[in-house]
Amino acid sequence: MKEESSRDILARRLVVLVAGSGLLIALVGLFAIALLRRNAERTSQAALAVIAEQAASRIGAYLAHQREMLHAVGGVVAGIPDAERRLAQIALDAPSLGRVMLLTPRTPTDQLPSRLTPPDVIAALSGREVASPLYFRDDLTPAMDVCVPVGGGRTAAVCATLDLLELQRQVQRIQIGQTGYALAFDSEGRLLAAGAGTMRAAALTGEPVAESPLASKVARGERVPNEFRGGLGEDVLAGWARLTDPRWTIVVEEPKREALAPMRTALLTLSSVAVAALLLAIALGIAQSRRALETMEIEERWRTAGRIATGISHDLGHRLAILQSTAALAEANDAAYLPLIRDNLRAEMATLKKFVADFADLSREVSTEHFVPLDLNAFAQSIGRVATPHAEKAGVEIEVKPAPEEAWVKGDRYLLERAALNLVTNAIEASPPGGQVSVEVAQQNGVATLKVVDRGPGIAPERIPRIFDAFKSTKRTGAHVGMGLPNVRRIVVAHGGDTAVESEVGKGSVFSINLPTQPKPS
Amino acid sequence: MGRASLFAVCAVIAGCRPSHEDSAFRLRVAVVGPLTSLTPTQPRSSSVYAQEWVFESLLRTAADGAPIRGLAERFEFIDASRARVALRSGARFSDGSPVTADDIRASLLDHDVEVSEERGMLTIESRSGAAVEPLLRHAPVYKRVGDGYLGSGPFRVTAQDAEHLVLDRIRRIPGKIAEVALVAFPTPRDTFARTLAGDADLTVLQDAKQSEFFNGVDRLRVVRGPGANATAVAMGLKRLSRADRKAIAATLPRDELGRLVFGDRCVTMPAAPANHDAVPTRRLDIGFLVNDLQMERMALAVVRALGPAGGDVRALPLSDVLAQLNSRDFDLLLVRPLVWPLSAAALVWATGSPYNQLAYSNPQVDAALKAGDWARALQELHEDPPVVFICTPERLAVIDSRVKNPRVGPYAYLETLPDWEISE
Repeated sequence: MKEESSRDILARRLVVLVAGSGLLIALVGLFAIALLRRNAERTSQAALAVIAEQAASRIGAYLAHQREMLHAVGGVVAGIPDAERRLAQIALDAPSLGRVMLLTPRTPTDQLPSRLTPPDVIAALSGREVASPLYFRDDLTPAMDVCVPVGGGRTAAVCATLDLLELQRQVQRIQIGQTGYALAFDSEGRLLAAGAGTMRAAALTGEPVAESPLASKVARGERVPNEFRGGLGEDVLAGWARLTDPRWTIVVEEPKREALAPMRTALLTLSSVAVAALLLAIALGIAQSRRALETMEIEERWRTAGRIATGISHDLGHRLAILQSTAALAEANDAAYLPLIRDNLRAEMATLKKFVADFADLSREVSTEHFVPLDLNAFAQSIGRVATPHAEKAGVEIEVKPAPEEAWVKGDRYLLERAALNLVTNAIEASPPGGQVSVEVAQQNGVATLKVVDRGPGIAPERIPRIFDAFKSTKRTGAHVGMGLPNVRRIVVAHGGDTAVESEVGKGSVFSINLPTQPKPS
Repeated sequence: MGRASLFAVCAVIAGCRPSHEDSAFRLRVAVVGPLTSLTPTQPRSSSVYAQEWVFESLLRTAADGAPIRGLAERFEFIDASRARVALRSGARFSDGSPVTADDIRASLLDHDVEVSEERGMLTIESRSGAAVEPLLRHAPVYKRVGDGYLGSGPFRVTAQDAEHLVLDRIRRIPGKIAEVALVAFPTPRDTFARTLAGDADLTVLQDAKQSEFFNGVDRLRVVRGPGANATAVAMGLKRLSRADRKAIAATLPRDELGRLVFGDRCVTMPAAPANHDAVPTRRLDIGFLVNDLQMERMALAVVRALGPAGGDVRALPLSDVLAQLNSRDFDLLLVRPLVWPLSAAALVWATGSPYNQLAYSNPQVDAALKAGDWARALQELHEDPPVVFICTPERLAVIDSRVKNPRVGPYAYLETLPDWEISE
């Protein structure tokens, strides 16, 4: 198990930052797409409504023109002696008027326009304009029977079977995109003309289509949706328009997939470009971050090397100075100096051995292969025993306070011992003669803690935040090269734990090793 | 070895491909019902459309009107009233029995002809001396079996009731129609609407305006072809003298009438000779079959063209039209006689012909027809006109777009259907 480096953490943060930015951009993009889509739908519906209005206007104008022609005929027919015969001939020159006839009270029933009801006939003879619903003649031409009063005060009307093939043509001519079409309905929602080929059958048979209920609502002035499942079984966008006389409805429809196709293509292109740009930005961001981190790491290595060199040169320089002094004493050939020379050499040898041991600890990697279950209570007792000779030498008492229950952890026993002894040795050295160092074990919430408590002078508050950093030791005496506490932290973190320190100047310090607890081995 | 293996694999793959039998093309033809039994005699129902697919005639008609081989593989006309034909080798009826001289004799029994056989050739001779060419084009060859009839055409009837007539191709041909179903609907409107709605793949159109309904319907396409029946004004032979009829024929502006009713989709017939007689001074009424809006319009146009002689326009039920034709006691009546090919005149105008509905009789016309001189027969008809030929409107049908080479005509409406090819 390796300690996660600050570089990895920083790299991860950078990636999260870049990815988060990308996600934010993507969310904004999605919102923009939804907005654009809605806008495109509205625009399409508005355009369809305009086309429907134009179609309704053209159809209304056509019908009005036919009626005007009939009124003109009615106005002049009064004085003509063989009016009936002349009227019949009008159909030849004005085919859109269809069959034209003079309606009088004497007109035989079987010669009346086929779709006029008796009340219609009475109304027509009393001087009112009447019109039948649209119907299809035997040759399948759409037609409408219309009667207008004749001039001259006669009790008669001119009736025509208007040929509305032109209406059908106008509806059929409306083509929206590839497959969009128009439909015309009467006030009851009966299909009159259809731009969609297969729907024309419904116009002939009178069968309702999917739009029929909506069309009758529009004819009544009610609001209807502009998006629905059309008569061809496809979701459509639609625009509606209404004629007032006759009360017909025009709807212009375009399949939704087709209406929104350009918008979809644009959005797809836009999204693809945006995603590509985003991915490129993320990739570049990550690459740049890595390069920056590598640069930082190299710089940090050089700084570390500098710190190590400073520490080593300082400590070795100090040792060298002592050895030079000792050498000078030896060169004096004074036997009186021999005890001093011997003590100096012993001390310096011990110091250099400790120095080498510290570096050896630093070089040992934490590996799970070396992990064994440890009862922290027993472990603390062992530490106490090992540290006792050194404590007694310093006149300090070691006290071990185990937890009430066994506290099992897993770890490299050798390295954990090195870490714990480092803390205990520091505590002994910080304690005044006659002082006491406690090694306490506690267990709470899945964390087992080994605390080393001294009642020494304590640590200045400003030093505490960086006390576990390398080469930050201020003791700089004996074997202290400033690598002890950083090594403790390295070992503990590699075991999945952490370290902590509490201190109060003049009262002492508490160093803690926190490790995750493990189940008791069976 | 490798090539042999590859060949074997290819052979297996080819052998496993779906056969054309599995993808047999079925064409549904929408017609107005009810349907009657399909017989070689002209059925008075929409079953008539299927007649040529089941019953062949000895000769068929080319697009230019010339006779071409039908059931007869070879033919020659000794003179107008005698022809020598050789039947198609291996010609068989749908039950597999061969077509014999006796079958030809039996099929033409009602047409007053003598059929003799010599060294595999049949000689067909009209006993009355009438031209035989129209007969050989028109008369179907059949074999009576019990109450039914067998034909030698590519299709045979497999099922029939008042609403359906199903025909199956006897020997299926890849890429051609395998089955045809005539589907009858109660009214022309239903026929039309159901075709639009996708319940049929073909229907005949009665009016060019109807083709507009199919604009934008990709499944179907409108097919146009020259017509064989003219729109004509029949003149009552009992009421109108030859001079009256000639004057009327010369008076009517056929081009204008044709354009007024059909636009530019009607071929005007050859003009009648100039005539200086005056049309009758009395008013001439004109009748037409009720609900035929084209004819109604034509009637109005004729009345206007006759000026003061133009009388009332009367829509008549079919029974009245037939009664008037039989009695010849009418002024003017709009009819649609067969005018193409020219030899059809022998069927329509020869004295005593079963197709001569006006009971017209003119020795000069008969003589020309017997001589096979169709142009002279027409000339003689102009001299003693029973009708005024206005124009011949085109024929239309909407046909499934998958058919690659659909045609209407040239003689019977859908006679080329067995030859139509289907796109994959």
